[in-house]
Amino acid sequence: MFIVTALAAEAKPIVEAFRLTRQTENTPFPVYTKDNRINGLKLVISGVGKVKSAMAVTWLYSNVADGVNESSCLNVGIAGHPEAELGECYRINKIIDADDDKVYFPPQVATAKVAGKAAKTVSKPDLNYDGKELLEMEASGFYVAASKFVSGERLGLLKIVSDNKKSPADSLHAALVEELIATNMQHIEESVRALSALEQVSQEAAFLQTSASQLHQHYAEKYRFTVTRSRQVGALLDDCFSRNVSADVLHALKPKTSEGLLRELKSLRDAAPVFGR
Amino acid sequence: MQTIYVENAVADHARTRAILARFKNADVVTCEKYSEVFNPKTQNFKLQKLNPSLILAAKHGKRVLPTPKENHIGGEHNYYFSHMLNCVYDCRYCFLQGMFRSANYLVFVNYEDFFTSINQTLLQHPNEKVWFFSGYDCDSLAYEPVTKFVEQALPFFKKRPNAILELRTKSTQIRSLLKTDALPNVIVAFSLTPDDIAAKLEHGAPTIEKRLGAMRQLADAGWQVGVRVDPLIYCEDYQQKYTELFDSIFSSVPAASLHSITYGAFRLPKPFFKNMRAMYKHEPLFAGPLDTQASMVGYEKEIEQEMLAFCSEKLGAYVAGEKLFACTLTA
Repeated sequence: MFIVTALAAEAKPIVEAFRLTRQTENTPFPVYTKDNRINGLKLVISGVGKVKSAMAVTWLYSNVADGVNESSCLNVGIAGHPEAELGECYRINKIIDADDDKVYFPPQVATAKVAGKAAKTVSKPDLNYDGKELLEMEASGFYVAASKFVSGERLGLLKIVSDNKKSPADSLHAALVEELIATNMQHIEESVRALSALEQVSQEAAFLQTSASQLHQHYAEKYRFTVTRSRQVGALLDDCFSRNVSADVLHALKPKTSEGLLRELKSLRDAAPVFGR
Repeated sequence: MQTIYVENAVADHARTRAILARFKNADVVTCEKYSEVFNPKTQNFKLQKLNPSLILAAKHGKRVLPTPKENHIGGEHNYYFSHMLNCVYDCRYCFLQGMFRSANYLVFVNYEDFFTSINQTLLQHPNEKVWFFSGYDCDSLAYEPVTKFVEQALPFFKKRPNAILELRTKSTQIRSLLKTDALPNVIVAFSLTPDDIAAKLEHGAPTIEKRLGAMRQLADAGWQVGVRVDPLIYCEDYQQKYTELFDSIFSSVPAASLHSITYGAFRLPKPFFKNMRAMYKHEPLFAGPLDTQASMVGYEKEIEQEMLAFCSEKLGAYVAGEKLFACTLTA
């Protein structure tokens, strides 16, 4: 589970609430972790703007994510709005990139119980406060980049109103940002829980998939597979796991050739109970 | 319903307003075209099924299409239409999982345009019976409390006796039908599966007992009902399971009300099967005994033939042959 913020002030209350610690390794972005587990919560401070946000999630999924790339990712940040009250928290259900007018609709599957709203991603601060959308600077970069690695359901965006017509962004300061984020920790934690639950949905499938992949690798080291043969073996392994053939039995197969392996896998699959048992 | 996407073009449509009024707490998100929400690649059908959203849009282009030949039930002219895409149930064998990227419910609110298209289709076959199937890309009745499609379709079909409507469902949402006098040109067809197979595969759907109860209520009210045993699911004791199912059906539903029975073995277009297998890699249903023929994945020929012959014989003992239809590519 990842969290991406643009500013250190946005990150600070989250780091404190989840008791994260700064990683000591030299990384392109500051990283805070719960512990060193591969699947633990990680927070990255990307810097301001959609390009930096896109770079941070790309780096996370390319270098830090687990092997099956099913980690969820939450973008938390501040935003402006013409009228909304300071401190209001919204989940983003529509993103409009002000530079190219492209529109994205993050699926709303795992969400906090806060109202949804559209966000407009701008490349430089906009103090005109026109329109109905939340004005912010990262959402489109975050979403476009992250959705190259995982499906949109695994991505969440929470934006907290930090400025409006009455209290424009030029009066913003770090302490206020920290306070606004801190007062919304309940919604941030709720989003983290909901997005983490999606990771659990696929945990069992991922375990079986990993087992099947490991066996496939084990066979590949023993036999020389053509591309077609490799695919056939993979499909038979999936069938065998679906029919509850034990991994130990599959691991113990020792035919002399890959043709023999195929025959033995078929025979194990066909001898195993079909659906309904 | 937490999120409802609305195409700008139907934002002021009376049906959109009525549906939105039903979900007062939902976030309404506007879009130019439903495809912006429904079609993007970066979606996961399986995850969306956990919390689907609703999309309200207009259907343009071809609204009425010819049905595949293997799905005919005795009529010469056969068409289908879909006022909705996707289903409130989560049946593991359903081709919708393999066909769509999104599990969101997409409702086309321009029903009048569907009725116009049906009228145009009828004009192509003057003075002939024409079949219209409504439950291919959705369950015809399961979302009726929201869509009210059937409520509005019944008066239309009442005035057009040559147009025969098949509603196909697993649901018990039959209120729209029960508050109307039975129409001779409407068949309410129920998909049925043996109890324990349904429990494993038809997630969220009413029990077989409840479906049979709904069929009985409709039959008592004078409606013609249909039985759809499609897909037949193979398991080692399938004969016993299906024999029990057939006994339950024919002891619950009066034979005189039975319009037709169709049966067909589990089968899917290869690309859909591939998508579904990737989503549920270790689902026992997808682990065979399956075979691929003519770009369709189905049971091995011998098993399929055995199951179809078994159904033909068993069902033939209950109903006349002209009411019995095998849905198979080779029939």
